[in-house]
Amino acid sequence: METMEAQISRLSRSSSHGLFNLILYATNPQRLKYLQDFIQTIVKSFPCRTILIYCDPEAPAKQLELQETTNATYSQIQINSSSEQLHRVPFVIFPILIPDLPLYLFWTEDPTREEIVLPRLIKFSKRLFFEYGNINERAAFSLRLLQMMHAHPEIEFIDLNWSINSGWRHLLPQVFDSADKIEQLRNAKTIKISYSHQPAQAVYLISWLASRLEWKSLASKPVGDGTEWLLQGPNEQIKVNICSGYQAANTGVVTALEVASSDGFTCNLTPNSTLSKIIVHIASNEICDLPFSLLLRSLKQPFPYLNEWLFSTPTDHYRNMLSWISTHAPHRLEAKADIYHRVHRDHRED
Amino acid sequence: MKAKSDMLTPMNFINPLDDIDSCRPKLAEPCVMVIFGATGDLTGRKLLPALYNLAKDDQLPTHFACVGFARRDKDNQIFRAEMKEAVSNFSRTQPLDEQLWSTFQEQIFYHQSEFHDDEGYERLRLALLDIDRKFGTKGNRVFYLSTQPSFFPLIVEKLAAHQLIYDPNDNSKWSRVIVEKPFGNDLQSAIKLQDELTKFLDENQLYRIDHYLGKETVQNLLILRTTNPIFEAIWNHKHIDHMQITVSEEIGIGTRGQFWEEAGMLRDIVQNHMMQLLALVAMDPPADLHSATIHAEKIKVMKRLRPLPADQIDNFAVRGQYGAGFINGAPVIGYRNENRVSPTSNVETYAALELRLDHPRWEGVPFFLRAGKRLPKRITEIAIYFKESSNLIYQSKRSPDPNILVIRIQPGEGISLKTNCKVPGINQMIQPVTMDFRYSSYFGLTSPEAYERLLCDCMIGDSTLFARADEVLASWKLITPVLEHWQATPITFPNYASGTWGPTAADQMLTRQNYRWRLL
Repeated sequence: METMEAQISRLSRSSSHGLFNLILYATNPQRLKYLQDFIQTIVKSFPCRTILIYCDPEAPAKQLELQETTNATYSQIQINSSSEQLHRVPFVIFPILIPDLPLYLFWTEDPTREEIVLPRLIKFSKRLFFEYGNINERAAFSLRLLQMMHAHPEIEFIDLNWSINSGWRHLLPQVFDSADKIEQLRNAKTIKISYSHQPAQAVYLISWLASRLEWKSLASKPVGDGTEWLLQGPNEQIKVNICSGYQAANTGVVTALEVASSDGFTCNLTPNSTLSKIIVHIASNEICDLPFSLLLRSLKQPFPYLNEWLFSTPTDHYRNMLSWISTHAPHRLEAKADIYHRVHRDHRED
Repeated sequence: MKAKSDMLTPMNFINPLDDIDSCRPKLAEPCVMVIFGATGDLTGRKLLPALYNLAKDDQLPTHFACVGFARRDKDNQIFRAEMKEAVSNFSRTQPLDEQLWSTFQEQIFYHQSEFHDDEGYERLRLALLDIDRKFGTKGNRVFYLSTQPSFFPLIVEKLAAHQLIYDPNDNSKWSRVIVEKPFGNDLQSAIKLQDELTKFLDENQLYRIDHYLGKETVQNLLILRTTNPIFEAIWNHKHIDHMQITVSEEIGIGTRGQFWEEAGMLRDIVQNHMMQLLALVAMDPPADLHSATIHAEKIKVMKRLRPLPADQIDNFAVRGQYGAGFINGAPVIGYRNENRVSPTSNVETYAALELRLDHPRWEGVPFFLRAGKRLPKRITEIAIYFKESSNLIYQSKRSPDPNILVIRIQPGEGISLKTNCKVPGINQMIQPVTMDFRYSSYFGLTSPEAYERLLCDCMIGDSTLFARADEVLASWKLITPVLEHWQATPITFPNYASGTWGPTAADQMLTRQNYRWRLL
């Protein structure tokens, strides 16, 4: 059997073309499966080299092995490592990156707290994808993320929870498409957001609206399996109810949005029975528009925004939303000791 | 009914929720697209598939509807069924997404009327108002004239008469008209058509579609030149020897005999597509990517094209007509035997030109254009020949091949660069090799079709990829004397066999200057 050193040597000499190197990181079997599915979606459309790092918590202490699958258009490599061997992984990766191609990183854990592998790779990377869904410390996470973005201005930070909301962020300005409707939204009295499985994207969506419409956060409390969030609008308080709703193909997607203001204005964006589209219904005391329907890719496709993830440039809306969360979100946890920056600074000096 | 204040939201309203990024530079505004001549070929083959794929990619405005306007007696249901079949056959994405189609078809309507019928336009106006109420399309209109050009003035006049074309200064809503080529069939008729249309339309409301400009590879020309300094540094007469622009088709004129008898290759392909390609490849890099800036650079090229000397046109312009021959080994008939073609027709199915630019960047650089039907293969490309090296480091009986940068427009969209390489071994032999980039290898198989980009741009109000009046007229100014000379001068046709690379005279146009057409 070929030794790992021989494998690395062979891979580093092999000629390969592609659009990018993509390194992915998982630490549990569910995330591993998720990333393996993601890789299959990527390689169908884009020639690339993917390197999936799996830090197996159950692996024997000495485990560090490399598995590969290669064809004409892609090269898939999986590195299985124990926690004890994780520090060696960057040194396995460096020789097998395809030269001259951009390096993308996909981290399923909190990238702001990653101390071992990410700090060594990030200084060479162009994009960092992450999908961190722990909303309980969203304020602290947002703050750490902003700090990380400030430390690495050359890197494009692609938050998948933000990207998957892209459909809603594209849709809402077309629903609230006039100065009047924006004012109605700004002066909403109640907002209900439904999500599928987990609420991270719902929290992002309402945070984005709040950052754009200059709402302030007052308090929040758990209600049933959801959250009730009290925001301050320009004239009155807005009660936001974030709750589990229709179960879509994707975990965490926002599936419905309902807005009501105290003067009788309502705007309901709700899925149809087969979850194939969103029905928009706007009404007020004076008018009742005919409902119209829209498709949202995120309702049906598992990885709906691949082109955006790979090629688009994050906008200021995202950064502004993070700032809003870090300063307005009710649970203002102090940021933990800046482990990331200390480790990163140490690695820079290597 | 919408609230009154809603209708009066000013056009300069900035929506705080608008999140513009590189993947979605600007949202297309709500609008209704009315396609005149909707029962014609173009609607089913190109326009509806384009709209469907825009919807699939979330690029269609949320509030959108499409109305097919034509003479044939149909209703919405029949038209929708026909369009479903057409989209199923011609969409670049397959298979048809039934769920998407079930929503999308609800936005498609049919309006039966003659182009001259005032009552029909009045009914259209009311129908569009009803669509505005139901779909929130805000009064914005795109009128796509997929008809014979002879109908353009009539339709535009009727649209204006029935308040379907708005004052261009109206900030509450807009109207735009898309016309297909050919825009006129010579300089005089193009000027006349322009005058007739601009009685009712501002130039900014008129979008002359040239679908080549919507092709990804054509759009990439600017990107290639402006984001790769290595190329811009050598994009001039000091390094470039000559350029060849080729539009080659293996098909004949098919069922378009009647059309072709009135058009010919110069009008159908050279005057529009090839002149646009020439402008893009020869222009100075624009200072920015605004539509006006790019148009300004293109028109500079058009105006600096040296007119062909009246007494020497045959030295600079060659025409041909295909005879019988073989395509891919199968026998085919000659042009004069095609359906609805005169057996004594002198219409050209091949044209080749040598053009020069009176521009410091291109001093002494010839631009060779050729376009033809029933040539051996289908290919559209721009080949940039660089000057040969005068550095004779390697002792060789023959000079190294020139470097050639090839921009393949279709098929096999991509870019290749021919360079010279040493053959491995103890000898000093040199062999040309090709560095090759193909879109399909890197970006997947389904790039957007040209019409998708163009329709979306029109709805956004971006005219960058449309031809402006002055570009079109400058192009006609160059081409018309050639047309007139050919009309007045007899020639023996056919003069090339189908399946060959065109008439001998076209080869001679190059060989007498020690050039040679690229073998494709």
